[in-house]
Amino acid sequence: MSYEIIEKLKKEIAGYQDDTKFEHVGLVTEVGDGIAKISGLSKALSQELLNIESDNGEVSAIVFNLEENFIGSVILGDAQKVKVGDRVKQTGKVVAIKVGDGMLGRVVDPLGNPLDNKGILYMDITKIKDYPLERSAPSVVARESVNTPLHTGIKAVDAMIPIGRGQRELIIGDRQTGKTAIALDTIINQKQDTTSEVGPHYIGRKQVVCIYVAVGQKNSKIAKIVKTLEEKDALKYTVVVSAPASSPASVQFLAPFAGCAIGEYFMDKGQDALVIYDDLSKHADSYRQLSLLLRRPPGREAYPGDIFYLHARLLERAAKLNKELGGGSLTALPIIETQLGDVSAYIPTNVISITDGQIYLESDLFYKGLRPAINAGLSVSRVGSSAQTKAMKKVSGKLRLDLAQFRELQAFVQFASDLDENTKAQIARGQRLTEILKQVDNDPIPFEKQVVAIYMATNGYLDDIKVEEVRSISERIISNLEKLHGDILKKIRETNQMDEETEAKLKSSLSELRGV
Amino acid sequence: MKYSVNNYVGAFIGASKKTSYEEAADGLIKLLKKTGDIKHSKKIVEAIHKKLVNEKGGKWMNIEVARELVLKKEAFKHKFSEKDHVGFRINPELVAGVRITINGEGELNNTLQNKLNKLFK
Repeated sequence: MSYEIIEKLKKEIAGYQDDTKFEHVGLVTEVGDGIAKISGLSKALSQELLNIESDNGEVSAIVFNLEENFIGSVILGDAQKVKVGDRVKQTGKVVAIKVGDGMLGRVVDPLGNPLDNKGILYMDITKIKDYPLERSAPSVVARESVNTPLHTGIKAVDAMIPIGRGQRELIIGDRQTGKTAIALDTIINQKQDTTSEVGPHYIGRKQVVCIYVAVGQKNSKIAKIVKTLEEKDALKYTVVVSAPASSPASVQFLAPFAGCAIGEYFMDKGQDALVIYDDLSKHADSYRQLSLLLRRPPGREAYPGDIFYLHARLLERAAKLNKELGGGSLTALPIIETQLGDVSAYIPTNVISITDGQIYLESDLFYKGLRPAINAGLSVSRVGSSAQTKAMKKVSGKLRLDLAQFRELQAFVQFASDLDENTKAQIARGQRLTEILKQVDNDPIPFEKQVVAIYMATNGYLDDIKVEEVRSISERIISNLEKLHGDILKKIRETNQMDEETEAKLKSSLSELRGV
Repeated sequence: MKYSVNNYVGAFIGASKKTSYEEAADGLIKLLKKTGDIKHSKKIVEAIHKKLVNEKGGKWMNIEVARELVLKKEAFKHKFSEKDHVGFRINPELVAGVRITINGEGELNNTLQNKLNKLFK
């Protein structure tokens, strides 16, 4: 063994080339809480990666503050290794992550290091690309309108708050209201929502690559999510970027940008990508911590003045590229956790105004058993309707109207016996619609089945069924429809439409199956 | 520190332009005693010295060598301009060779420590 080491050293020494040259260096003058103040390095760039030469090896840091006489930097590695007097060298590079197809199915940290003990990420290093964590968003000319749906597999979302590929849709709600569940369902649904047929008569949907960014989450929760994705066979097209609560604030701060950079790699390849930021409240907290430690002036709720820009520049990178640029897309689903349903707090209002709509989840609805606990009145999608399939548009228009009428009449449910027949019917319809929109976790429903389920509810096929039996009976009808009249579902799936012929077939099949 | 080193440096340079260096230095010592920053006087005086050298067009040079034997101060000093300040330091960590730092941020590192570090990186 020692012989081998000596031989290796001999080779290294023989091949050593002395290239002593003038270099820019700095000195650590203050260090603490993951922050280092460095003198010198007057030519350092903002966001540049630095190497701190500590006694125990090199430690990376990022330039955050460029001041007159010193620079404020955030230490990325083990801050315990850095001490006052350590020399600091510039790298001339901004923070970047190595991305490639090898990332799929893996759990990585925001710097691209694998965390899942599955070995190296890339077998072929020639296919790796360096993507900067901070990059400007695609310009106006590089984009086109959102035109393809991103189905979540959740009836309430796909029907009433449709999301398009390239859109930014906020998922907002209190703790334990099912925010992550919606995001997970969306990831799981991408497997069954892919349609291979692309042609003049078919409108295909490409496989969506998913990136789940966990910021400040418990390690146990991240492990559970990875396990669920593995069980549902969804991990193979997913990348998990993990910055748990135990990681330093600097790592948590970088995580969404790393996730976005990975998404951009797939978008630039012409693929469709979905990135979930779970959650941006904790991301804002980590940025607040760094900013306060760097002595930046605090603003409202002690957040720094540029907290809006932080999230705006991150979410603005979600885009649908035009055909000339490959037609790829990056959809963003940021998550925000509210405190006691207060959507008027600083960070929620910021992100609401940045995104193209929000899915608002309510604790009250959750505890009433309405799951997913989506408040259809406060939830909105500003651009998704243009991407919604014709079939879904056809059935969901009536659903929205019926549900809106039901919400108005809901207060009178207790006095149902004193109401006129028309109002009673509206309430009964509303109750059945609410029931049909209920769904369990981790079981997203294919879009064509959603269309049929909503069609049944809005066209009175379930009106004479007891409310508590609506879900089971509708599931049974759809299951039988799939077995006996699979061509109807297939046609809706392939053409994204429900033409008169299909509707007539569906009507006769439903009448037939209702009696089974 | 009540005020930063740079504040003291700026104040001293400003005051020295209006009065003599001696008077400004007296005033600075009184001020440091008053503010309780006298314990940082070494750091402040060095910063003032550095600023004065730079203002006169000189450079603040720091030369580090591993052992006393190789330190030929006079031979080194002749290599630089008279305006430059040349400081010497023995640093055994360098193993061998010389490291020259200019104005605290430019470095020419020709030490064995650096070469070994690169070799085993």
